[in-house]
Amino acid sequence: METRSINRKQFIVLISSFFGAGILWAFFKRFFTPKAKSPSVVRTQPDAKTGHLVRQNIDAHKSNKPSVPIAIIGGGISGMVAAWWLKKNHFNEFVLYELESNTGGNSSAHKNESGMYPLGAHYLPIPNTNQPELLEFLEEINCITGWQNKLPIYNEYQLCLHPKEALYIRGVWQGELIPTYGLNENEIKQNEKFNAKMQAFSVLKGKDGKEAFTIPMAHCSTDPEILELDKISMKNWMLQQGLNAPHLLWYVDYCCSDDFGANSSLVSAWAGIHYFTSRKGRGANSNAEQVLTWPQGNGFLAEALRSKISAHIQPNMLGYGVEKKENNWNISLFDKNKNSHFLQNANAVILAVPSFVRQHLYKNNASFPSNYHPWLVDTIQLKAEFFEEQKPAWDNVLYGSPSLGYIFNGHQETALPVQNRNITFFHAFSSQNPAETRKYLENSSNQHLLSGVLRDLEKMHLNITQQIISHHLHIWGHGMVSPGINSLWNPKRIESQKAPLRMAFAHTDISGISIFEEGFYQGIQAANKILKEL
Amino acid sequence: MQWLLLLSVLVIATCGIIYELIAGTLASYLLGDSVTQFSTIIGTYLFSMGIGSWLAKYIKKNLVQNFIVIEIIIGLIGGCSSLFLFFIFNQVEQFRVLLYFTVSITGILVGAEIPLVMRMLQGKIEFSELISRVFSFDYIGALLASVIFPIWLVPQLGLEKTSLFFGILNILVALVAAYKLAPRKSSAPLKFAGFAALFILVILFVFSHKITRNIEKEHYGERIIISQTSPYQRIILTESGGHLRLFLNGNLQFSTKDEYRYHEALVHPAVQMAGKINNALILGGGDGMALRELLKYPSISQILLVDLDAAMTKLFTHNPRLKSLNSGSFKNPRATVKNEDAFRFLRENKSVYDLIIVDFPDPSNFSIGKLYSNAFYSELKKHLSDSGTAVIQCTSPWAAPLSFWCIENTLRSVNLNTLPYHTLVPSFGDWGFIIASKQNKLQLNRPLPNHLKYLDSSIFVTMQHFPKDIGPRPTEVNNLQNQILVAYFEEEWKHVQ
Ligand SMILES: Cc1cc2nc3c(=O)[nH]c(=O)nc-3n(C[C@H](O)[C@H](O)[C@H](O)COP(=O)(O)OP(=O)(O)OC[C@H]3O[C@@H](n4cnc5c(N)ncnc54)[C@H](O)[C@@H]3O)c2cc1C
Repeated sequence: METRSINRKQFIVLISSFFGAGILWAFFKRFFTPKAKSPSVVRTQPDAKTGHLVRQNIDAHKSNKPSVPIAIIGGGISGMVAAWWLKKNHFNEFVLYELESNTGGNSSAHKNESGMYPLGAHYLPIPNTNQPELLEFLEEINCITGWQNKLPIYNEYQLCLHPKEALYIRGVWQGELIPTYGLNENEIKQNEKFNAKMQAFSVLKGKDGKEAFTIPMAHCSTDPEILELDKISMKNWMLQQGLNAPHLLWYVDYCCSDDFGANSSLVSAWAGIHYFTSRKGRGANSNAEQVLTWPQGNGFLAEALRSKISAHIQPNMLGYGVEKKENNWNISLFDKNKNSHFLQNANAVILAVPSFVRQHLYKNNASFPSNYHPWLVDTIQLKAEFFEEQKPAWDNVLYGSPSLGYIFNGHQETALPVQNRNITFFHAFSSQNPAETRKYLENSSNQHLLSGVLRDLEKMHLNITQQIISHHLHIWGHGMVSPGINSLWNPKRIESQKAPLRMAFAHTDISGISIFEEGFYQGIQAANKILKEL
Repeated sequence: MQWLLLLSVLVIATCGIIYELIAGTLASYLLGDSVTQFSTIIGTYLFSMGIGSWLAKYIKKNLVQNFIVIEIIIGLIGGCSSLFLFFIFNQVEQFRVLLYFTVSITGILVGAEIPLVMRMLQGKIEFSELISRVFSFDYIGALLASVIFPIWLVPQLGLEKTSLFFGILNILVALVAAYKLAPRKSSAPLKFAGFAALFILVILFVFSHKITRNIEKEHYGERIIISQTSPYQRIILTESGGHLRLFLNGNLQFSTKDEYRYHEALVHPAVQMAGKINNALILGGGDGMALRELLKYPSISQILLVDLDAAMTKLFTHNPRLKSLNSGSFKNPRATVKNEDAFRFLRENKSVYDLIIVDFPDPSNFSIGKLYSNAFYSELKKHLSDSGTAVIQCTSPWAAPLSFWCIENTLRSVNLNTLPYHTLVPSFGDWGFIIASKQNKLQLNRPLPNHLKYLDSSIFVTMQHFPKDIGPRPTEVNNLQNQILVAYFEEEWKHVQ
């Protein structure tokens, strides 16, 4: 008998049948594990195409609009606050032109079946008590529900619920964003040293008696010694102080990106320190660490403002030129819907648009070059199971990542059941050359952009991809102005922000720090200037 | 032919061991005591294989056809065994009997296979060769099965899919045999049966996660008579010694042995401290027992019960055994049930009540912690009439004193007056309650009713006394921003368990 040869054959058959079984196995696993249908993707961006018309010399026939006392161009927070303040001062004859179909600007929001979500700004820290108009506004819209010992009582449903934040670091979730998990002694010491330094800065006063760091910026001390900090980068300042632990440098990068859209190498030390030390807000039931937030983020505040001035708003209107006409201003407008041009005569004008737009609208002012870093914002609709299993905090951040992590938009709900909800993921692209990054983002496919988002999310939540129902990608080409080195306190910048008589500039760019409180402040200042000069 | 049969020995052996391991694992999941389960199941299985080998001698003719038929039956029974066992686990009281029955049947069939294969190979190979080859393949299969089962199969596929997968392998062996070995003329029905079985198993494989999703797999050391998973919680009802116990997410909610103590203490003092009660509200309490106590007062004309979980209220409305526990309270015309989140209900409605009973689970997570926050109590207060009372179940002041007094301080922080009290509920331990009201003076306006099993006015006086070790203590106020109560609760119960 040829037992041997048969055996060899048997052996081969045996081995190959194992392979066969393996392939069969793979087949079963692949085809019979229920596969989520691939999520839908929507991609949006501000109307850059129309916006870019401001750069061109347009020579079109313009029909005249009836003249108005005040025209506001731009319906972001600053423009709308200016409008609200005009109304509060019983001045009702004004019109507000907004390029997009909705007001809100960087504080806009959208919604899908799982609720509302922000496209940009998403929280307001407990404001400092030195902005009475802001507190007045918050009280009008029931964010402040009352007062106790002269301190505002904030609406408990709008104060960020517990757990507020979580950092995924070395395989665990820790409850604070500053890394504390798994540090060695030296690293712990650095955290302490950093906190102590920031604590000292937050109570520091300049020789002029003003606080070194506060909000609004305009209230900060101009003591030259303090302003020296504006001349180096935050990163270099950290290194000079011996604060060089990687976890701390990452944390400071994260914070700078969160507020300025640029990392600590790109923003000045003054700006970086401002982030950590300027918030001194207090409330009867809250403190400076708390934030106000809503499912739609600051879209809530934008909508509250809009509803107060809605009769004055004209959306889908691009302002592309402002010229002196005798004692008045002639404003060139393009109506996107009607595809036609208009001329608006006004006694006074408030330009509530970013500086990079304003310099084209009103050419007489010296311009100051600023960087605007692009942002990618991805709102992801997820199945209820995700929230049941993962129980995310409001703000969830991945240690070591250049992204800003995500916020959970259903966080402020107090009721069960847990349902399909949205999270919104943020990534600010810090780079030396924002224009190039803008182009890169513009030319990237959805799939490419999403793969970056998912890489981070998968690290935080294994298999989250299977739970995704849809994506809404929103790209901000010019996210927000970044307070670069020698920029905020640069006399040339300050000079460029000064408007002539009966014209006012209202935008967070005027402050140079893009946050709601500054937009609010600039709106009020602009309205006051016009009310005085008219 | 020869290698085909030897290969089938390998597959059959692997499958057989896998079925046995699955039965053992399942039995220890469901019945506990894995040593006993595994050894009895292995014993039964081996013994059944013996019976199978013995019975194989009665198969005289049509070896191949019979081999194929047996193979198909093993595939079906073994493949479906874990699904089947999971399924009957809730339904049938004789789970054990069916478990061993399934194990025996698979054992017998697998046992019959080897002798059949050997006889089919008889004459083709020398006898000693035959014996050694068949058994080598058999044991290789056994090794393979016992190694990949815990390391790879269970974590990757889960029990249901593993058994179905091997069922499918069995059927494939049958089909290959039907094509290669069976005589032409008799093979058609066999092929048909093989494909039909394959179809069934593949369908089950695809949908198995749906089938088993709702099946409870844990055990409570007691006989489980109901096990349901609602969108909010796992509801388990167990029985032992004639008493029923209800668990929500694994936490004991009541035992029929002493639930009257809990519910009398929860309901009656608050009733007697309120002014006149026209309408009452119960938040939580989906078992209907607090409702049962309240319905004892004919003067209360309307009672609204708001419980999140429709599965709970349905069970306690319709299940004969459970509705007898609350004396059919849900069918009472004075009672109305709303399945809604209590927080949402309070925020979205305006009605005012003379009595509010708050019977939520303990604050063991943030979702429930919200229902013990100052924001919640502010809402509650808006719904409470001036002479009305609210009573809140407040976990154990003995096991979790900080938690208990935190709830009290939180109630006070929204300017409610409070009256804390506690009593022994043997199944739970020393249990606490707090009555809250806008009234300045909280006292019994009327004596407690006579017909109660446990509570009377003199005992109620002693219940208000807190010895030093569980007495009042300063705590933070629980709010939505700190959820401090959940932190206290976790910390304190950690030390108890
Ligand atoms: C992704 C992202 C996240 C952010 N997160 C936060 C946050 O969490 N908290 C926070 O406080 N801040 C945040 N910010 C900062 C945010 O920019 C400010 O809070 C605020 O919304 C800025 O308002 P603004 O009015 O100054 O400017 P903008 O929002 O830029 O408003 C300018 C408006 O003018 C319109 N406009 C522009 N050109 C023209 C034209 N030619 N004619 C007519 N209309 C025109 C624009 O459409 C826009 O509506 C974030 C910003 C971004 C981009």
